[in-house]
Amino acid sequence: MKFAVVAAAAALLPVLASAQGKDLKIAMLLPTSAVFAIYGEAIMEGFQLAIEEAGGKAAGRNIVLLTEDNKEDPRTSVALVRKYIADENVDFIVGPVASHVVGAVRNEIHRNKTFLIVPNAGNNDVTGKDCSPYIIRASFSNWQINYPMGLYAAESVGKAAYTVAYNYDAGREMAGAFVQGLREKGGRVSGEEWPALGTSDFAPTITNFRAKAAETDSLWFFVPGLAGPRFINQVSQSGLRSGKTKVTGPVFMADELFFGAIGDSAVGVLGSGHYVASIESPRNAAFQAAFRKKYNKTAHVVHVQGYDSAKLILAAVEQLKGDLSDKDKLRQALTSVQLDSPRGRISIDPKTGNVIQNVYITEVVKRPDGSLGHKVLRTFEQVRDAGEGCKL
Amino acid sequence: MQIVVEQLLNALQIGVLLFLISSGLSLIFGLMHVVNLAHGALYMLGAYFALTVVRHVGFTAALVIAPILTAVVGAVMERLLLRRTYGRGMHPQVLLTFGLVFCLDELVRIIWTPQIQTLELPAALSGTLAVAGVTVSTYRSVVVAVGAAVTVALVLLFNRTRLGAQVRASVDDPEMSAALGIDVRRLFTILFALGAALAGLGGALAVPIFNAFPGMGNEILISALVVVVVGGMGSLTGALLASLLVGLAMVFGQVFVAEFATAAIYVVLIVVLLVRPQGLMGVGRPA
Repeated sequence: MKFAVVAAAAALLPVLASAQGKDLKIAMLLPTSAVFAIYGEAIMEGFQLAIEEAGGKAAGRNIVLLTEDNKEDPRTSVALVRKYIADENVDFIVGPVASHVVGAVRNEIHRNKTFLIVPNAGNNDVTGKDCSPYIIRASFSNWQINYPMGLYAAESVGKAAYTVAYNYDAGREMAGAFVQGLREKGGRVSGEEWPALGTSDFAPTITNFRAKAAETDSLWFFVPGLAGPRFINQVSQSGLRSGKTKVTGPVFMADELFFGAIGDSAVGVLGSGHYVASIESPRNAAFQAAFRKKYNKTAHVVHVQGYDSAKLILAAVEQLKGDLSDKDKLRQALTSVQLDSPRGRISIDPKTGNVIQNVYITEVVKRPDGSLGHKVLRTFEQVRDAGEGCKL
Repeated sequence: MQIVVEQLLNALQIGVLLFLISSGLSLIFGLMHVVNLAHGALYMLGAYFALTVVRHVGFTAALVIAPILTAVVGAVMERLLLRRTYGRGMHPQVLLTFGLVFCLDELVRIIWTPQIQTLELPAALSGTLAVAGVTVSTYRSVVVAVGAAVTVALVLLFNRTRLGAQVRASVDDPEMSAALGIDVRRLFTILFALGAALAGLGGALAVPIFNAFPGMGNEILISALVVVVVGGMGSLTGALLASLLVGLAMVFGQVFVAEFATAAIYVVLIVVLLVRPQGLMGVGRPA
């Protein structure tokens, strides 16, 4: 309500002259509190590194960041978007973390023609049936990172897969994409489990799986958050890792963020995703070195998503020499930029607004020094999500 | 058939962990009429103590030392803080123990970092056991064995020792017990420490299955409170029965109605409260 009053007051003021030559205002729609805060903070860290590398300027315009906690709450976020647009007249909004919050702010963004750069939220609809010329996703789609694992599993692991995913949107989308890829290469599903969101003891699921273990080549799973490490540890403790079955899933089920929580039972888990810290390229090495220098830690995929979101904005603003007055030209710039990202070459698909990028199939390995890392087994080059339902 | 047996064992394992946590909660309520919302935080401390001890000494040692350290924390908590709230009704206790949850969560973040952590099981415990075609995780079997041993020890403690008799007497009639010369204050401290030790043991045992992270106690506290209410506040037997019942509900909920499994324990709670508002073994609310 408070925001509505502020917005109304702002509307009475004379409209500001074109922002060109003025500060480049970027508003962050990210949580700094509650459960999603670690994602919000990670995106912010990556984002700030890129801004710092650019000297705090784009095409001569000083970059100003507005940061207010959206608490990753849909209503707070809508109010914040209105305030950012009407009150602050921002050039870009970066966020949010969760897919349902993108859904909540989508119409507000679309109506006001202010560009939203999505640095995380992976639900297919964001660049599918809910796509908008003003929504650009720099992170990934659920389909994009899991479909290649289906192809890989059928071709290189074995035809039969058992799937376990939390019973909610993202779980359904990720498992669906995996199974689609699997079936296209002649694979089949030996069983599926849909534990409720929040399930923490997977023993009943694992017992069900045990009956099918002998005829299953890959146990694909997606249970985000705390549950991921638990699932891997519990499968290991049930003795089901010693046979032929490989544990597979999206790579962030077993990555730098969770190695400490999983321990050595992470070794041998196969993952699919758009970034791991162990990617061997000069670009990634330089990025990791710069990140370590600034934050004294290893960057993981969410940091990279924040970093690339900033890089994308910077490149588009440079290309237009700072003149963002024509929205169509800005869209064109954003979708024609080719970025040399730590994750490989990326660009934005003009048809959907989703990122086009490599998807890596990885295996967790124990390095000679005892630490855990990823070995890239195969790279699916420049994977494009067709964006089902998107008409742009 | 083997699957059914295996699922029953899964339920038993969860039940045992719940019992370790809820028995202390229930006893503390029964004797002291304190709803200790920080009980989950003690479970968390047990987990982190175990992490540290495992790294320096070993796993078996951790199962002994972690509960002792948690008991010390519990005793200090009771002596320095809770004691001031006795006789002032429920509100100060709820506020105090709820506040302690935040303090202890933050303390854990500072000492052990906010990272989710696990501990590597010794090789002897990380495999599986196969008995008559039924395969079970060795570690989970150990959890059941420890839980069974603790249950027996608790029953003996309360039914066969002087301390147990004093506790039972004080639960029944605290004023008469005090008049007979039982040092009720000392009993409170001992019982609080014992409850903390049980929570600490539960936390230590839980790490390999559920990991350790700041705030882990809140996750278990809800289930433990359900167990206490279902079992009847203050009843050890009730806590045991309710733990097993809730374990069964969790496992078979997940097997038959996976989508709604997280609601299964609340279904148990509602049904029991409708049929027996005082809980399975409860004797009505203590005055």
